[in-house]
Amino acid sequence: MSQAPKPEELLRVSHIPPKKDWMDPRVDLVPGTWGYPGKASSLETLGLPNPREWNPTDEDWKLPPNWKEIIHEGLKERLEKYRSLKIFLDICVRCGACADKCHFFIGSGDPKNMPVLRAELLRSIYRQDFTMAGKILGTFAGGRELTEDVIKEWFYYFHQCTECRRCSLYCPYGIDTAEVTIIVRELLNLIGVNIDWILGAAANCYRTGNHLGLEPHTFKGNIEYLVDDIEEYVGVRLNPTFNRKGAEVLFIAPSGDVFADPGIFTYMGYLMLFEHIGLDYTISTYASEGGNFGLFTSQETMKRLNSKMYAEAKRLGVKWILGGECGHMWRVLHQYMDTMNGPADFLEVPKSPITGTVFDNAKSTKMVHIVEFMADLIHHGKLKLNPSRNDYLRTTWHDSCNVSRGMGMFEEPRYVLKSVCNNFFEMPENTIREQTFCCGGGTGLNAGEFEYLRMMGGMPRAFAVKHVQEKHGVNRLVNVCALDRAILPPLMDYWAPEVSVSGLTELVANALVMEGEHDRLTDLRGEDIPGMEGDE
Amino acid sequence: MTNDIFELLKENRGMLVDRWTTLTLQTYPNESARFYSKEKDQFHNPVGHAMSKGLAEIFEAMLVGRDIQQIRPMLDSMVRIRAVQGFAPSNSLAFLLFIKKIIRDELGAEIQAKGLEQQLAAFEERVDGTLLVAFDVYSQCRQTLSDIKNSEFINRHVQLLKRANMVSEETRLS
Ligand code: SF4
Ligand code: SF4
Repeated sequence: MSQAPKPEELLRVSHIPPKKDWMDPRVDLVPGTWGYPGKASSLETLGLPNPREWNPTDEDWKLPPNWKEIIHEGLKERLEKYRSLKIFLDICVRCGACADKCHFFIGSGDPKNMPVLRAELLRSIYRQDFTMAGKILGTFAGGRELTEDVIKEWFYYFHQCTECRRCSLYCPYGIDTAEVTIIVRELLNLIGVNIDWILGAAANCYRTGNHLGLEPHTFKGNIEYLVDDIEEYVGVRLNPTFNRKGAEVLFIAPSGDVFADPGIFTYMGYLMLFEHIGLDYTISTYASEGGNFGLFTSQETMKRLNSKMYAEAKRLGVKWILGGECGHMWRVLHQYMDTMNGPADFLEVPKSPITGTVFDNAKSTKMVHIVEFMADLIHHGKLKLNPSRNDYLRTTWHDSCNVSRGMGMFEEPRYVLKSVCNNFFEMPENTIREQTFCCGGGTGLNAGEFEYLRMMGGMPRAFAVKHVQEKHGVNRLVNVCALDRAILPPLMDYWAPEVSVSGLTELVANALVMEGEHDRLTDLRGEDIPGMEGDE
Repeated sequence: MTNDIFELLKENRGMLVDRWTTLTLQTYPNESARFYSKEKDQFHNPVGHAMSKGLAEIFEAMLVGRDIQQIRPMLDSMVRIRAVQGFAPSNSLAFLLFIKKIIRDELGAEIQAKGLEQQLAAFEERVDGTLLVAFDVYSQCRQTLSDIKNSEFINRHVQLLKRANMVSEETRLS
């Protein structure tokens, strides 16, 4: 029998063998940190290559025989198409400024999660095969050969990046590792290497219009449930319309808000807000998803999923589109929609029918973010609010990567939150706004099987929340992203128990004084509002 | 000069806690160990911060012989972090025992010269006690993780499931 190890012997055994050179591509698939593979049926729905049953823990990943050529050609094509990619691969001076800025590195301690090394996983292949120095000098020039192990390593580490762009903020050259991840995931999709959580959602969306695969009657039914709840808790009966031609505005939210807690309370908020201001709007049961998992698959998939928004806007003859609280939906919209499917000349430049404000920033896409829309309403005094209904909450604000770092939306949500809630406390300066820390589960990493990865990736965010919880008694983490609303609650359960999570519009609606409402004794969750027991 | 092990440890606590923290952080790969030791901002480096703060507090608590249950919250962040980082359970908690070796390496000769071995054994018992409490915290963390995983789907769809009469408050809590 062997002797029990001494602690100092254990000291030598690390979870990731430290002595291994980063150039060695072999990975250990640590349980809880990798995703189940995309199902053949999803790939078939989307018309993506190499549909098959396979398992990342198997030796043989059943790649197409000419996989190397496919990756090679795919990279070549993208280097020609995206100048930014070539620049990103060429100009990194390995200064290391980005190295410790990634939440996955900070939380996991795995060096391959340092953005500079993550990009290097692709760069080394590029260097070997696409640069003169690499062709001649090979490994001496930092090049690596493309092998199946490299593909496996890409699968693992490019699904440990949430494309949050925090690293790019610190890079003196603006190198965006998120874009490298986007490209590598696209390359992997060329040979059928992908994860089910992304592919399944994208396939559902392609088939029925939303990630969950809800068909129109179910989608409508879920919203009607929410209407019932509003009647019960608020005392007013709303009548949202579906697929109504000639409405002024088409409203599109992430489908998570239609079916999952706590997003549904945000959806109730949308409905109440629109009623309160008398907006002439309709909801499409076909463009029933604001999110776009195509962004995590390929340009083509993203484009196809995105196009349904304009197709519905055209079919229904609306003037412009209003979008709900979502993160990556806005990344797609802000950065890609116009070039992919725009300009939407058949729509009008969005103009708030209530305040007359023209949203010039949406001149081309014709789509306005609900937070901008609400901030404008509040600014013009168009909402009747009773913020004291939110007094039982002590809130803090999580800047979701895509809308904050990605689009510069910092002040609008804070303005709205402070207008509807009396208790607001910022997290430490170096964890918010541009420097915000990711929730740890965006870009399709919120699948159940990523449970440890998410806890590590979300750790820096969670510690900042815990700090304001201890210091100010914060009990509600507010955000404007549907994925956050799914990912942050379990993260809080683990790191900062007793902090609940909600969207912004939920709190707006808590405070909204609706015409004809009864005594508001509960919030939109149906929970008693402390201090409001019959005293309004 | 002192003839009390606790005095001796107190005099050397800065050095001992530093060594303990360094050794603990060396359970990570080199690049990460360097970052965890170097970055002082607690929000940019929650791991390094939790470890150095936690170990200093625990050392202090063991010196004064604090009740083992009072040590529990001091262990919480450290153990919570280690429980999700892919270490085997033994590797997750072994760092707590490092202090024994550090004391013997650094102060062994002096302890022997002064005949303080018996007293050292008393201190080491406190280390063992701490490890046992850490074990409780660790298994609770893992339990929480598995509860989260099991109930994530239900929790996220509880309103709809309730409406469809597929779940009641009782089944949810059970
Ligand atoms: S984009 Fe975000 S997740 Fe990806 S490497 Fe950079 S910091 Fe890490
Ligand atoms: S900060 Fe920019 S240049 Fe420096 S290592 Fe990172 S990616 Fe390269």
